[in-house]
Order: sequence, then structure tokens, then C-alpha cells
Amino acid sequence: MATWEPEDSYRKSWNRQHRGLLIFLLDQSGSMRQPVQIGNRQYTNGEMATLALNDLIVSVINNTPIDSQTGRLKDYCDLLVLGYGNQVTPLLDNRQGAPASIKDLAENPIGRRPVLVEKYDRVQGKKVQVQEMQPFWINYTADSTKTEMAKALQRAYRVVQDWLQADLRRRQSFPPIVINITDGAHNGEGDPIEAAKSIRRLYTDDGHVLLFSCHLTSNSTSHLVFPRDAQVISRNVSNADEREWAVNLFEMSSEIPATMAKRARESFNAGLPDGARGFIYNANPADLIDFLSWGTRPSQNFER
Amino acid sequence: MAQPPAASTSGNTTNVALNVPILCVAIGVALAVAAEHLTSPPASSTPATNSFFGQFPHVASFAIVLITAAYALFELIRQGRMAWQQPALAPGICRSASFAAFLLGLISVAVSDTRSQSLLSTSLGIGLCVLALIGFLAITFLGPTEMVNQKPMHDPGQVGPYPADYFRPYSGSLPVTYDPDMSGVEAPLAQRKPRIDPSTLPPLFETDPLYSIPRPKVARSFSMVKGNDNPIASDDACVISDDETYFALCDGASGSSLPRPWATLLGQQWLKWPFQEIDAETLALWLQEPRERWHRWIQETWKWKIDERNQLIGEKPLSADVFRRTLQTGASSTFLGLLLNRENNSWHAAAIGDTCLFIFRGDRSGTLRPRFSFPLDSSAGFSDRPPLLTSNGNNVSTLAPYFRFKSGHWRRGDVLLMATDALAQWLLSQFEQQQTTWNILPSLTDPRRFAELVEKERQSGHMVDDDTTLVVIPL
Repeated sequence: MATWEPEDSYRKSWNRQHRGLLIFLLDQSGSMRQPVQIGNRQYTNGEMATLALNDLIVSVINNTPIDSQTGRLKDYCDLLVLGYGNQVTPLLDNRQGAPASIKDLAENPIGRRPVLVEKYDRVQGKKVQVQEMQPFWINYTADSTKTEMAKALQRAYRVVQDWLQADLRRRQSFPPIVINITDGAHNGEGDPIEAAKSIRRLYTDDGHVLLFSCHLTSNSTSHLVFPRDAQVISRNVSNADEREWAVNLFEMSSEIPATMAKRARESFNAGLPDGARGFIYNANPADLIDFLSWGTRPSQNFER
Repeated sequence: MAQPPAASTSGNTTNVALNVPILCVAIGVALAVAAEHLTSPPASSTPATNSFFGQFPHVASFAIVLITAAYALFELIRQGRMAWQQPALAPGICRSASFAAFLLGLISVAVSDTRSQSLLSTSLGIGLCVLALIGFLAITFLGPTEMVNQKPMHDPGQVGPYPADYFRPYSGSLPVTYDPDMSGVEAPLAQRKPRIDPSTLPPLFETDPLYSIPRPKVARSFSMVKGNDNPIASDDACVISDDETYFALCDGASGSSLPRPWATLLGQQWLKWPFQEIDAETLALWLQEPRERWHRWIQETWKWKIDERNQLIGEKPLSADVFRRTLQTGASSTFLGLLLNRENNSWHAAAIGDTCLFIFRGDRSGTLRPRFSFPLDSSAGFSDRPPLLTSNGNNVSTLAPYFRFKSGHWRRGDVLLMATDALAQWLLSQFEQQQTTWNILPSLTDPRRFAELVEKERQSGHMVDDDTTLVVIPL
């Protein structure tokens, strides 16, 4: 295992020469059918997870700059979505689970649907809800009896390994990122915590692979982002089962690198605690994408 | 007789695509008027119009008027559809449309005057003209001035720890109606094979003035693109006046949309309108022209070129999503303007963002030493969210305070350096660590040596792999 001075890692930006890899894991087990009440509508946990996943993809696309030469997105990263239930299935297309380039993905959603998004209305001076047609890539399913989370993580491990070996330049890239969206209940083979550890042991010259977790539950009364220790979770999660799952997912998650924490600070004028983990409980993981290095960009802080 | 207005006056307010038919219509009217004067001089019953040559100008001008009117109608419908999809373009298109309607009114006046003495069609034409003029003025003076489409990261005034409501239980987008069976149109990620490999074609915009690279005689400029990419991929823009007294170096933000032309436009604006100091109001005025030109360039040059290239290589035209996003997010750039007064040996600089100016002066032994840098003076001051000038009409008033100004005098033998962030940060850390690798820069003439240095420092991790531009100004 390689070692780094902390200030030397996670400094790379994605670009054409040093492309990135994002792997999203989506829990599609039957337990994701738990109802969630949001506003006056009822959704299921799995619907929320699917929405979160589509949002993540939209967020990656919105962050990828446009290439002035082609009028398409710049070829900055590859993306793979694996669904897991009774088995692990690549969800984006039928290309046997090879990661797809973001620029191809952006042009080929499986459809568009109206969504309500919050936008800041300068005239009214407040946020208003606007209906927008948003592309989506993943449909909701939750019909499996098993949750093979460990297998999904092992599959992600192999994908990362193959992807790194496919091109030598990828060794110099920002390390691949795996985001696992789940309700935390695991009842398949193997030990997800061990599988998570081995993924996090993979590395590029810029640092170890990052594994982040997004824990969505039907207990929507509490939410938590980037906690520093498991005690915070114990205090915030009342249900005993959920608490155990949450603590497990917390243990599986990587620490947020200092460079990402710095960017979070610049975006929100707020710091993350030292050693904060990439664990999100009942919240939108799309913010994680904004913390990655996407090159120089205008900060809204200067326009307040 | 109605006189056609000079078509060139429409240039500022109307859309070029519509200006073409407008111009043609105007020419047609002029021809019709001329034809009438030629063929029916003062007496109206001369048989000149019966001869073929007498008839010809009439027929020709009518044909031109009809064809161009048809084309104008087609353009109007096409632009109308565009305006429907792109509300941001609507006011400009409406302006053009009303102007075109005004001209059509003029034609009908002209035509009715020559063919028949029908009072009805003349008054109809005049009515159309008046209505179109009212419409034009109304859009110009009462129409929308700014689009509301930017979402700030969080509510204004929000400080301290994470805003409590930022991470609500689910802060993402929610479907209005969730239909689990909604399958959409299946569009597999098939690898499309273009007819021609685009990498074999010359890069676009190489000859575009907004991508031009200055060739100063006394000063020297060097540039390296991130990842050693093609120079056309650089987001840095350097603009230098012919007499080499005005310099601007702007670093387009790689995370924004098409920053290079925007950066060039800012530099050009500095040459036209340098300032000692700037307040919010003046800044808004100063930015107005570059902003207009950037939007026009995207809509007219960029989109057109991309569509043309895509057609050539057998790709789909520019996607509406990308086009909308480009206009919505806009371009951003840092700005460093320098003004030299060669009469009293003084200089003045204005800056926003992290593009820096360095001054070197020889000590007693003749070795050049850095005197100071502006606007940043330590390598820790750099981040990837510097204040930037943006092409989209957000609140300019809050940007003005981020401008920095500095003036001074130079002596013979001084050297001024302008450097974009990666190089500026590297230089400052060199000074901080008392290293001397930098000392080849003030006397640098060979671009290959610059490339070697940048390459080496990037490899060793001392310099950030970003677009790197250096302007050396010996005095």
C-alpha cells in the first residue's frame, strides 16, 4: 500500500488526459419498497434512491464543461451504474458493464420527465419551485428478495482495477469514486465491510479510491451529512436496525479528502469537521459531485 | 414616395440572420422606386413600360421583393420557433420581426403607390408601419433586460455552518408524477461512427479573431495548454495594442462555457476603454459590449460552425440542451489590464481574480529581483473559486469591490511579467522558498525553453497542470 503526504493527494483535476471514473451502486432489493412521505406525496425508498441516482448523473453532466470544438461535453470521465438485488446488473446499457463516457451518456437518456426543482428567482428574491423536463437514465425497480451489497462492491473493485489498467495515464488521475446508494440492509453473501475496505485500498498516484455512502431510509424525520464519528449516528438514528446499518455504512465510507473539504468550505462558507466521512443519511448526495475538482468556476459568493 | 431606411442602422438592434432578408427587401424597394422613376418619368402615360426593357426593372424588383419577403417570412417562423425554445433570445428576435414588419409596410406603400392608386392598400401599409414602429419601440424600451435563471449556491446572507435547510431530507428534484412504468424512448448508448474522423480535420475557430494570438514586437508572450493540448484548447487570452502600451491577460474559467472568446472580448474592451478605477455602475456599462458580443458570437458564429462541422462529419447538430446550457451558465474569466505611459515612465494596472503582474528590477550587481506582485502576493492566496467577470447579467454591483488597482513608475531595465494563475502561484512559491529556477523568465525569448520549464515543473508537481500564459514586457 502506497503512502502519501496528506497535502499531496487528491489534488488532480479531471481533464481529457487525466480522466476520472465514477461508479454508482444502487440498491434494488425488496426492502427499498418502504414508503417515504415527502410533502403531501408518498414515494418509496427505492424511488427516492433512483431519483438521487438520476440527480447524481445530472449533476455530473452539469459540472462537465462544454467543448468549444465539438459542441458536446468534454470527455472528462467515465460512469458506470450497477444495480444490486438478487444479482449485480449494469444499469446503463447492454455493454456488459463497461463504464460509459459522460459525453455519450449525456446525449442518451432513456427519457425525460417533468420534475420540480428549486430555483432562485431574482425578481421575487426567493427560491421558487419550477417544473422542468429532466433527463433520466435509470428506472425504478425493487423486486429482489436478496441484497447482494458485498457482490456489488466486489464487482466495482474489478471494474476499477480493469479501468486503471486499461490506460497508463489513468494512474495519474484523481482516484475513482464509488457512491453506494442503499437502505443499508444487507442479506447477501460475503461481508460488505471487507469488500469496501479492499476497494478503498486501490489507488492512483493521486490517492486511494474514494467510497461514499448514501443511506436512504423510510425514517425521514432525521438526516445527517458528513459525520465525523459513529457516536453522532447513534445520537441521530433512533431505530435500532437502522442505526446498525448506518454505522456499518459509515465504517465503509472514506474520509472526505482535505481538498474536497476546502471546496465545500468555499462553496458554502462552512467547514466540514476534520475527519468527516463521505456518509450521507437521508439527504441528496449530488452535493458530493460539486465538491470534486471541476476546474476554475465562478463562485456565487462573489455575487451576493 | 416612401424612402427605404438605410438597412445598416438595424445592425445594433437586430439579429444578423434577419438582417439579410431585411437588407434584400430594402434593396428590392429601392429598385422598385428607381424603376418607377426610370420607367415613368413625370408623365404617367408614356408607353415606356410596354417595352421589355422598360418592364424589366419592374419585374426584377418585384421578383426580388417577393422572394425576399418569402424568405423573411420563413426566417421569421424559424426564429420564432427558436425564440419559443430560447426565451432569452425572444426580445432580440421580436425587435427584428417588428423591424421587418416595418419594412414590409413600407414595401406595400411603395408598391401600391406605383401600381394602383388604391387608398386602402396605402393606408394599410402605413398602418402596418406605425404598428411595427410602436412594437419596436415598446420592446426596446419596455422589454425585459435581464434573464432570471441563475441559482445561487444558497440564500443570500447565509453564513456560518451548513445552512440548516440545505440538506433537507431530500433536497433533489422530485417528479411531478412518478410513473414507475415510464420507460421513455430506448436509446442505447450505441457508439455512433462519424463519416469522417473529426481529429483529421483542422480545429475550428483557428482563424476566428476571438481566438487570435498576439504577436508583439517588443514584448514576448508564451503559452502552454493544460495537458499539452492543442493551443486552440487554451482558455487564456492575451490582447496587446499595436503600440504595446495596453496589455490585457485574461484567464477564462475552465469550468464555465466557452471562456476563451469571453476572455478575448474583455481584453479588447480594456484596449477600448481602460479605467483608473471602477464603480458598479461603470462596470455594468463596461461589461455591456463584451456581454452582447459574446452572446452574439455563441448564437451566430459558434452554433453555426458546430452545426456545419457536425453535418460534414455526419454527426447530429448541436443539441438544444448544450446550447441552452451554454447561454444559461455563460462564460467567466479573470482579468488583468495593464496600461503603460511611455512619456512619464508610469504604469497602471487593474485586476480581478488571480492573474498576476510581477515587477522585476536589477539590483546593484545587475541581477533582476522581484519587487512585488499584484493582486496576489502569496502562493497560498490561490483557489479554484476566484472572483471572475461573468458574461451573464448577474449582480455586477457586488463584483466591483473585488477589483484591485495599482500604479507605479518604472526605470529603464525593469521587466514586467504578466502570468496566469498556475505560473503566478509557482513564481510566488519560488520566491517564498528562495529558489532561482524562475530567473530565466524575465529574459526568456525562446518558446521551447518556456515549454521545457513548464513541462518539467508540471511533471515534478511544483506547477499546477493548467493553461499557463506568460507575457514578458522589457522596459
